[in-house]
Amino acid sequence: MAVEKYGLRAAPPQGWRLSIDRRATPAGIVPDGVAPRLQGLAPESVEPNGEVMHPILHACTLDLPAQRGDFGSGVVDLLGSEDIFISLIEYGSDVADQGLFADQGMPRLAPSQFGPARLQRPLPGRSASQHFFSVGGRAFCLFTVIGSHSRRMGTVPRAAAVVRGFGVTDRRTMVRRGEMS
Amino acid sequence: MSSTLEELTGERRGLVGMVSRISERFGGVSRRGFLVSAAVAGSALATDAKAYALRPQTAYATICGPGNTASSGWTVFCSTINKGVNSCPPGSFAAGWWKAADSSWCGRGYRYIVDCNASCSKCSTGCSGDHICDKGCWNCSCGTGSTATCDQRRICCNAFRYGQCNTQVKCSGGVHCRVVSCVPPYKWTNCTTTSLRDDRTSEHSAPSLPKWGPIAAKYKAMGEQGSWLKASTGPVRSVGDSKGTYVRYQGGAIYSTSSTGTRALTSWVLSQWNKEGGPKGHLGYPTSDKITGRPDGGWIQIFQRGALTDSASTSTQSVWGVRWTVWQKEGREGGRLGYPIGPKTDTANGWIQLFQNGAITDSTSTSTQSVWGIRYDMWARAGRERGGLGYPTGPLTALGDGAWQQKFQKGVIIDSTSSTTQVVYGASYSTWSSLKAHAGPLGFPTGARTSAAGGGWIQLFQRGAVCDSTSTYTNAVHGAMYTVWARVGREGGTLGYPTSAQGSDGRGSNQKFQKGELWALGSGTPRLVYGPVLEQWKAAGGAGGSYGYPLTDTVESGGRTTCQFEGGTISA
Repeated sequence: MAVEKYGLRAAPPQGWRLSIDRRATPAGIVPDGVAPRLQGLAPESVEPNGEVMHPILHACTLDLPAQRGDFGSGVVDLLGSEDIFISLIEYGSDVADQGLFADQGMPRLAPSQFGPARLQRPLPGRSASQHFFSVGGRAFCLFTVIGSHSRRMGTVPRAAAVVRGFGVTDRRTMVRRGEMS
Repeated sequence: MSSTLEELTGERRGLVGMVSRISERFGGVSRRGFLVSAAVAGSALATDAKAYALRPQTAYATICGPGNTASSGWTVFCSTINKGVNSCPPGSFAAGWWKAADSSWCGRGYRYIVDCNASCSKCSTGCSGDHICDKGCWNCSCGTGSTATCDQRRICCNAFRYGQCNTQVKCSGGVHCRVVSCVPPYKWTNCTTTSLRDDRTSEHSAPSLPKWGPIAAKYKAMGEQGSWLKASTGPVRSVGDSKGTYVRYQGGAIYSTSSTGTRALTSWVLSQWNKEGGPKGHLGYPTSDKITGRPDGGWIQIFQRGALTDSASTSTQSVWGVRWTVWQKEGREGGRLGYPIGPKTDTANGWIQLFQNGAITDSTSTSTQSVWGIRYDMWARAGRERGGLGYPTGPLTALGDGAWQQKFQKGVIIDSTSSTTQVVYGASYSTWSSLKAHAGPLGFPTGARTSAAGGGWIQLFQRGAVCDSTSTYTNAVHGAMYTVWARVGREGGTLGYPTSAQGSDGRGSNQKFQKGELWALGSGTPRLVYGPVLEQWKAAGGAGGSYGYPLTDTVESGGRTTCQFEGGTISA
C-alpha cells in the first residue's frame, strides 16, 4: 500500500499503520505563491503567530493513537519487543543543506546507530536512532524507535526496509507543480 | 528517623491537625521532608487546587506534573538545576522546541518547551556521521534532580535533539535540561518557526517555575524571555503582607496586588526601589510600568505614594509623600520643576528636595511649597532656607496686571510688568509691608538691597526707598519726600539717612533725616531745612511756632544759609 502526500511517499509492508499529516489549524494559511487549487496539498501551513506546520510521516507496527507526539510520545511507550515506530519530520527548506541538515539523502538504518538513550524520553527496553539530513532541498529528521534494544539485530533491518521505501519529491518539483513557493 | 507530623506533635486538631492530614498524604516523611512536602502542598493548592483536591494524586505530581521521576525518562527543568533560572545553563544551548496544548502553566494555552543540549566542549568524537557527540565530550554528566524537589527527572542523559534551534551547530551533546515559556521560542532565541507538538508534556513543571496568574500573564504579554525581563529566576513568591506577590527575573521583577495591578520593574528600578524599602517602604507598590519617552530622554515609574525617575541629565531619584503630591501639581517631570536632582534632605527645622528648576520644601513652621524658575534662582542666591528669606510660606500668587509674588518667612520675591524680579527681605520687607507693600506708596521694588554710604544699605522701589545705616533705624522715604531726598543726594547727600518715618501734623507732612528735615505744607513740595537754619527754626518752635512751614528750600550763599518760612526768613 503506497501513500503519497505533501511530497512524501511511503509503502510500508502489510500490517503497518501509516500517517502523513500536517498539524494545520483552520486559521493556518499556505505561503504566497502556492496555487489556490493546490493549497490543501501544500506541505507548509503558516499559523497566525508565525509557526509553520510541516508534514510529518508516522509509520508503526501498532495502531497510531490520535493523540501522539510528533516524536512518538504516546506511541513508543506501547511498543512491544518486535514493534517499530518511525517518524519522518520535515523542517522546511530554509534550513536545508546546511549545519545540522547538511547530510544528504535518506539515511540507511543500521543496528549500530541505535541506543537506549537516543529517545526524547528513554523507556526500559526501547532503543532509537535519530538522523538529520536533507533531500531535494527539503530538511528532515528521521527518528526510529524499536521496542527492544536487545533485539535490534532483527528489528532494525525491518525498519530499514520501510525507510528505503520512503520517497521525497524535491523542492524544485514541488514548486513547479505549484505546491510550494 | 521517619515520622508523620501527628507522631511528632500528638495533635490532630486545628491547623496542626490539618497540616498533619496533609502530611499523611505524602506518607511517612522525615521532618525535613515534611517541610519540603508542606511547601509543595501549598504550591499545589495554589497552582491547581481543583486537581489536587479531586484527583487521587500527590502534591508532587500536581506541581511537577506526570513523569516527575528519573525512571520516567523525561529530562529535568533547567530552573531545577540552574539556581532557579529558567534558561539554558552555561555549556548548553537551545537545540529544539515543541509545544503542548491546554497547559495550566500558560492559562490553558500553548506551553513551549525548549531543550537545552550540552555542547561538545570536551571533544568532538562521535560527530562523524552523527549529530550527537560521544557522552565523554558533553559539557555535563548524566544524573537526576535533587530529592529536595519533586522535579527529579533526568539531567543530561538523553542523546536526543528536537532540531529547530541553532541549526548551525551540527553536533551537540544530549539534553541537559528543559526551558519553558508561554511565548514561542522563535520570538526570543535562535530557533526556526517549524512547529512540533507533544501535548503529553503540557503539565510537566517544577516548583521553581512561576505558576500561571496575573504575573505570568503580564510576563507573557511582554514577550517573556524576549523582553528585558529575560528568564525567571524563581517561582511566584509572597511579599509577606498578605497583599502582594512577585516573581524575580534576570532583568528585574514583576509585582502584583489586587489594588495596584501587575507591574514590571527593571533591575535598576528594583534596586532603587529596594533602597527605599520596597513594597513595605514609603513608595509602596508600583502602580505603573516604567514609562519611557519622557522629556530629556527620561523615564518615570509611579508607585502608590511616589515615583522613581531619571533623565539623561540627572540621576535616578525618588519623589514620595507630600513632595510627590506637589510635584504632580507642578506637572511632574514635564512641568515647572523638571526632574529631581537629589533626595529629600533634612534642613534646619525642615527639609528640601531639589529639582532641575526649583525645589519643594517645608519646615515645622510652614507648609509644603514649591519654588521654581527665577524665584528659585533668587531664593538660592539669597541663601535658600538658611538665607534672608527663610522658607516659602505660600505659592506663586498672581497680583493682577501681570504682577506676581511668592512669600517667604522673612520676605518676598516679586515682580510686575513695570519692574524686574526682586527680593525684599528682612527689615526692608517689614518696612515695605507696613506700608501696604506693592499696593502702598513705595510700589514694586526696582532693585535689590545694596550697600550704601556709611555702612548702610538701601533698596529702591518704584516710588521710594527703604534704607538703614549703623546709626539709624530702617525707614522708608517715598513719594514727594523721596523726590527731594534723591535730588539732594539721598543717603550720601545733604540729608543723610532718614531717622524717622514720614509724619504729619494736620497742616502738612514731614520726615527727619540725619542732617536735616523735609517739610511739605499740605500737598505742596517738601522743603529742605538743615544746618543752623534748622537749629534756629526748631528753637523758635518749628512748624508749630511763629515761623510756621518753610516755603523754600534752605540755600547756602556767601557762607550763610537762608530759608523763607510762612512767618519770616531765617538766615544763619
